[in-house]
Amino acid sequence: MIQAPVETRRIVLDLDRCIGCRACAAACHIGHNNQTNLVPGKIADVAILPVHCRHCEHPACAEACPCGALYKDASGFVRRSEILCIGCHGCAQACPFGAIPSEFVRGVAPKCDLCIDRVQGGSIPRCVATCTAGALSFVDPEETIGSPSYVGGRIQSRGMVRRP
Amino acid sequence: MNQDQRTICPFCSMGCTLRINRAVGAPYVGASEIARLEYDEEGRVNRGSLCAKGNMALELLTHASRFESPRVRGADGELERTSWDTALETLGTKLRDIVARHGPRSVGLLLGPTLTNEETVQAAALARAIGTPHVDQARPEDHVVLEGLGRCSARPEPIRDVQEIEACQAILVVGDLFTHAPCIAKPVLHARYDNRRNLLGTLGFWKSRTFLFGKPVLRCLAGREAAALTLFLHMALEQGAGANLPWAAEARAMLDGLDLAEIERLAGLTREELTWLGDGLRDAESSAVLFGCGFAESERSDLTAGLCALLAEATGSRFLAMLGGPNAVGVRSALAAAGFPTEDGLRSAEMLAAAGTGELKALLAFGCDPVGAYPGNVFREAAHELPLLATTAPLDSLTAAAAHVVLPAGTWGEKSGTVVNAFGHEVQMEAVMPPPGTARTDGAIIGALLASLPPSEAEPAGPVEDPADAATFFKELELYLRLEARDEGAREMGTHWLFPEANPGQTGDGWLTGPLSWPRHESPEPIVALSPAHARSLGVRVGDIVRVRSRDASANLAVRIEERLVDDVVLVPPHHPEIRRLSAWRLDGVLRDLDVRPERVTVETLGEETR
Repeated sequence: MIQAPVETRRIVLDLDRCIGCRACAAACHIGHNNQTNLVPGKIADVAILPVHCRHCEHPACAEACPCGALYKDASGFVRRSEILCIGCHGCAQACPFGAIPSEFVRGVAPKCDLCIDRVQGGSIPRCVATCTAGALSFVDPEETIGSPSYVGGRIQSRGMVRRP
Repeated sequence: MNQDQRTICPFCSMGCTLRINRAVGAPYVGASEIARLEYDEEGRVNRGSLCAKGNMALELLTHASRFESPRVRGADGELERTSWDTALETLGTKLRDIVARHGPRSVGLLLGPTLTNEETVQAAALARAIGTPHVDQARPEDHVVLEGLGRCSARPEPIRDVQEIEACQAILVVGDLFTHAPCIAKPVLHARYDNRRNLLGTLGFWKSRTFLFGKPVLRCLAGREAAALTLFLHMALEQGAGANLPWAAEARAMLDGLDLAEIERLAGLTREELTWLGDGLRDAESSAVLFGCGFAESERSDLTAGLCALLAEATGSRFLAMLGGPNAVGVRSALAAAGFPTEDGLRSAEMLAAAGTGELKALLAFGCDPVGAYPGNVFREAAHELPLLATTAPLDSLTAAAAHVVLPAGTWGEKSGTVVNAFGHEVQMEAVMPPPGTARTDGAIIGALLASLPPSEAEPAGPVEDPADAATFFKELELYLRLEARDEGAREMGTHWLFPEANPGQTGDGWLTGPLSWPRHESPEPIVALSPAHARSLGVRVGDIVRVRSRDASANLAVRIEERLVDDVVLVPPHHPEIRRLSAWRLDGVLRDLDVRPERVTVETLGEETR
């Protein structure tokens, strides 16, 4: 498989494979010193899926932040400065995906940092590494359309794949 | 300088590999500062995956309630810190005193699921030195499943590697495997999706996590997997499968005597529904039967497990049984090699019952938390009455709270040794760091105890023979089916079946997962899940408090409505102590272990004022 450059890679969820075990959230929780940046979202009591940050092109959370704690870095990842964040919950309300949990730990917004400590070293984010069903992948979302494991797949919304 | 060390996950029997990244050369300053969990993509079983529970493994090493020095209960009834010499001497004196006064048969040894094979052999030597035949593994659900698998006398081809699951064209999953062993989901879903002709049949009673992926989905009545599998086996044998197997004649004789319509009613499934999958299992070039029933998830886990193995052998499928403890298989086989359990030795559940009646005077619990892990109240009370209760415990537990001597033990990442996982591989558990404070490994503690006792003169017994006996197994199955058919009328209105909802990390096994933050984070309040129709009939909404009453206890729990649940079942997360008490304690005379059938409960509203 051709590995896309880190800047274009995002966490993509295959909705057909997620078994709702919440290992991704647990890995995030333990890897970020008990701050869960990844919420398992409940869908009408039928499924539990991780709602992960899309690292948007035009991030609504950064626009809503009154003190510039949320910003896009050079790689295009939306990041949060722990020092500047005042814990106002503005970003959590602004996020159109609900990807910023409302439970704030240590007074700051729990914001996905794509496990930058691992990704910079050439590794993959913790939630993807731990995924028990192989539902999460760290790829270029545009590429997943043609890849063999997603035959006939289509992107429903950015960051999710489901067979028609 | 950083160093990576590979070891295995301490929680279930899959034996997933995990990597600990640790700064080498740094003195022990608290594991959280120097150790990190890494995902090992070369891991044989999991290839980097780790379930929610596995991700919490490091927390066990750094937990705030870890014991760092031995404690002995003083005259005032409080546990006091002391030195190793004093603690071992106190324990040795009390033990010798009890043996002298009541005989060696008044002492029992319970071995936890995290003990390595080497430690088990040492514990067996300790039992021999004391002179007691009462030594057994302390894990009710594993014991029952292994017993069933041993007795049914089926020898299906085992699954040795996850690649074999990936290659299967037809898979039958019994029970909620994806919840109990999520890491197995990757190969199963690979087989399901990446080859479109594949069958993934699921057998269970509610639309659990595994069910969402099944095709066909076989839904039996709550807890009646054994009846459904009987139909399956009957169908397979009728079509001539496995005719040459040694147990086939006995099975045919027993199955032909049954009223199949009655069994269909009992299972809540018809044989037509099973045909598609049954044919698939038989006709596929490679097929597998995966058993994943958790604690009290079917009425008779032993019969269910045995039937799964028989079905797998008859249809030529490969077989894998998921167990609860990381070394459930190893402890059992290491004990068998040392000549335990002997015919007259008490099994784990019998030991706990004997402690209640006063027959047993001293109990040594190594690497387990029997008070926290066993359901019901009986042993909880008996533990405080025992003349001597000693435990090796890494961290504070309910058993430690009742014990006279608590010896701080190293846990999974702090000791090396061999364990046997569900695939039958001997895997190496590696020490990643030393135990905190003066804590020692279970092996060192048992060794020290052994040295303080006079050497045994008894001849070591030969290995215990496998009690495989197909005739007994089928007799028991027949008895169960007939009894259940008669009891059918007793499922009166207003009673429901209490099933544990086994979210990862919530498998009430005492200190092993109890004190981890994840179960609390996921389900901070004790809740009960009801089906929408059940909630409507009670007139309750999400968050209302209801009283759940079982034969022995009652608990007030908050309501959660679960769309996928069937109406005669309520689900509870078993990790809350008040919920564990709802399940009653019963001994099964034949199995000589806990009768792990689900509990019958009533759900009542508390009235308007408590809403």
